[in-house]
Amino acid sequence: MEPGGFWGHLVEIAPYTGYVYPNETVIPWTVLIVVYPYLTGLVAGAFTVSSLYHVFGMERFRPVGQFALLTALAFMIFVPLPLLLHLGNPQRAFNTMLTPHWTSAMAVFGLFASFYVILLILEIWFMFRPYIVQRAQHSSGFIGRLWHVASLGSGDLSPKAMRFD
Amino acid sequence: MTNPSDPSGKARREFLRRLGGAAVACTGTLVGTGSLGTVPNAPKSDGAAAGSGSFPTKDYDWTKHRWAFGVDAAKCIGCLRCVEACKAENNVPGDAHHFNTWVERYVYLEGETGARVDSHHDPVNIAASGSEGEYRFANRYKDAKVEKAFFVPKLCNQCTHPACVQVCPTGATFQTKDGVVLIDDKYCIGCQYCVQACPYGARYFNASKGVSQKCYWCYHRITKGLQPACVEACPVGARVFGDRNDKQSPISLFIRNNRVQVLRPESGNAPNVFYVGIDKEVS
Repeated sequence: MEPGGFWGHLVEIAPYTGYVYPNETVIPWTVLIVVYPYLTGLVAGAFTVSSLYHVFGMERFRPVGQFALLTALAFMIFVPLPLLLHLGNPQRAFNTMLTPHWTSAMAVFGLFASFYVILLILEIWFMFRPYIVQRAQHSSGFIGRLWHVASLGSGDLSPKAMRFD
Repeated sequence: MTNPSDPSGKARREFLRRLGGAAVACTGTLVGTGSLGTVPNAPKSDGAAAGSGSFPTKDYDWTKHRWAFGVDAAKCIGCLRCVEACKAENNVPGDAHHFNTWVERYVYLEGETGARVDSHHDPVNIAASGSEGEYRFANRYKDAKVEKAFFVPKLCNQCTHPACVQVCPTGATFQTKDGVVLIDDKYCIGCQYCVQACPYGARYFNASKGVSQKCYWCYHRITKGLQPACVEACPVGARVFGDRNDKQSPISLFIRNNRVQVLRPESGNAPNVFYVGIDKEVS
């Protein structure tokens, strides 16, 4: 009755190497879960590079400072995608935010990650504020109105305001 | 202590009185709308709201029971009727990787110190049964010198401190007042965090439904006064089930008349399946 071949031999030595619960022969968290830390790694790296310039003032990183921050946001928006695709019922995913179970690390981290997205958006807005204001003042028509909305009504570009930013 | 502009403290008393009223009103609302998992220890008020003295349903009051399960491994013959009965009763996927309950075989060969463990999901045993939907233990040790051997039925332990409930991000899995851990499959998002968390391997992911699934001691049967399907199917009485609140129930007698133990007590989960006749190696 013993199955032959390579797998058969593996089965023969299995009693010597250990026992696995039947339900644990299925690995629940697979490739999509591995993609997720890969993406968060890119986010964290890009955010660190941008911080080296914006927070710690290292002029060497000036050329990539803005680009790195945009990269961080772009990846951060897509970080939940592999997790959503992995869920059995992705349409219910917001339940973790609407009715979080506070002893669950997953629920709490969902709220923490959305805080991080908000932080990134705020930081990018402050970073690009001079550019947005300048575009708002110099373009017209529908595009100009869009730039006005993006400036959130703040057109102050005085040195004092820029220092505050 | 007193407010200089209000020596009698009347304003403060008035404020406290209103605060108390508001608190009572809030509590009332919470009890009225409380979901299953968060109902405080006030079954009477809940029952009154439901129009009878019973909660969660009219015919069943879960505060009146404390279910527990007993396994006498010395009696188990490894026939696996329990596994097949469970699969039929609970719509468990019909393959060798998803089980609400399963049976393990521990075999000590002469001259060996450790046990050899296998279960009916093992490829050798599946080859012997001829299909992933039927189960039997292959006679794989017939040429070996067996010193000692026994079977150990396993199922969800319905722990008192369940790790799966702790990690569920939505609260879809919860503990009932009668001690059974249930899953709301209309609320489960299918993240499989609980499958990872369970130290006993009792949970699995049902891909066709997209939710986690596990043994719940046939809650649909026990709340109607029936026995779980596996207990009913067992030909040798190796599985015992009952209410610990009833001192003469089979499980109360089982725990009282035997030296029982639980699996992996060091995990801190405080299981509610009690075993007789297993070695220290069983976990």
